[in-house]
Amino acid sequence: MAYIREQIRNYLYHWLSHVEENSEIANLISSLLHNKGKIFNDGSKFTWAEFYYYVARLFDERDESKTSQIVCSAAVELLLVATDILDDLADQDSKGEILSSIAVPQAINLSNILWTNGLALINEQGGHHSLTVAIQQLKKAAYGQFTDLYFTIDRNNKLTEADYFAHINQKSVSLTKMVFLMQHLPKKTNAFWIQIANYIGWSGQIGNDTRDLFDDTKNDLYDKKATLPIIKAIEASQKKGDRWFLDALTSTDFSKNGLTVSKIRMYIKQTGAVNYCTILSEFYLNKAIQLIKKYQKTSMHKDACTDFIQFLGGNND
Amino acid sequence: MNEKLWTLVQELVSQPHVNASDLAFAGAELDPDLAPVFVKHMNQEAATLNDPIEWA
Repeated sequence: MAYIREQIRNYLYHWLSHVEENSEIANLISSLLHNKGKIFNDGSKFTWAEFYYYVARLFDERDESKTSQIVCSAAVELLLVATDILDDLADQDSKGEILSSIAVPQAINLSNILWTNGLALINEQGGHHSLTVAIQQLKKAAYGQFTDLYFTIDRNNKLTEADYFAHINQKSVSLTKMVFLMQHLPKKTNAFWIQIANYIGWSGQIGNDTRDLFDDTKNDLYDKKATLPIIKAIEASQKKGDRWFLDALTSTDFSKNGLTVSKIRMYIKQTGAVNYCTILSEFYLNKAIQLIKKYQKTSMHKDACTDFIQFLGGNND
Repeated sequence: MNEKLWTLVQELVSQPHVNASDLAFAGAELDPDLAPVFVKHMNQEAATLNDPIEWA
């Protein structure tokens, strides 16, 4: 597994050394690729580049396909860094890894450079089908990111768990779908792989949203984002006729009061919302792994299935 | 969407004491794929469940 990471890294080192004569750009992109969860960071468990690679191998294990799969993996990593930059800019996460080390004008331009280069690499190595799918799904994600600005809690909150799932299907699950649909899938199996992409996307987004609530460098809580743990905590409080939580959460200046932030976080935990979301996140990942194991039984690509299951953190019992 | 799970989690966090047999019993009401995840997670969390919320 570590060998694949090294190969993708080596390709990106090579790409960075040729991308542009301006070495500042290469240095800044390299530093972004060292952030948490990115391919140059030794502590990363899940990276989008490896995710792409292991998915691609499920459908094509030929040696001659490996180079283009590595290039497309690197391209997907670049595209996801570009979306991370825009996310942090939109959320004004000035304490986050990106904006604490890169000025806003640089961040905007780097995002643009990463988008264009990522798509160019897919065009060169993945071909017309992969490029078309990537653009389709990135468009969906972009619209989802825009609506995310307004997917927030107000004093008369009516948002439900179903609204949350509809929202993340557009905002982030479109990216896991992109990775699967960029492959040349047998037509009849599309629905099967989309279901796996849904499960992986739901698991990842619910897990991130739950962790981010307790991360001081993330603004989701202060921006009153309607994430699943918040929606469920409101539901629990309303069932008990308790107004404190919604009043505290929707008060304009709670972010300045550390004590209120701690109380809000404790309240969310005590409602069971964090437990619920953590269970759901693991459950959906398990569902994806179960489906891949089912496919593995009749697949020609058994080793690729084993690698993908291991990458997702499952075992091959 | 996952009403049963949500109801069970809320019931458990509102109880002063939760033990392994309570969890196994509660888990039996769930989808068979969901039950082991629920039981494993709530067992890990059991120590912190004994601090029920005080509703305002």
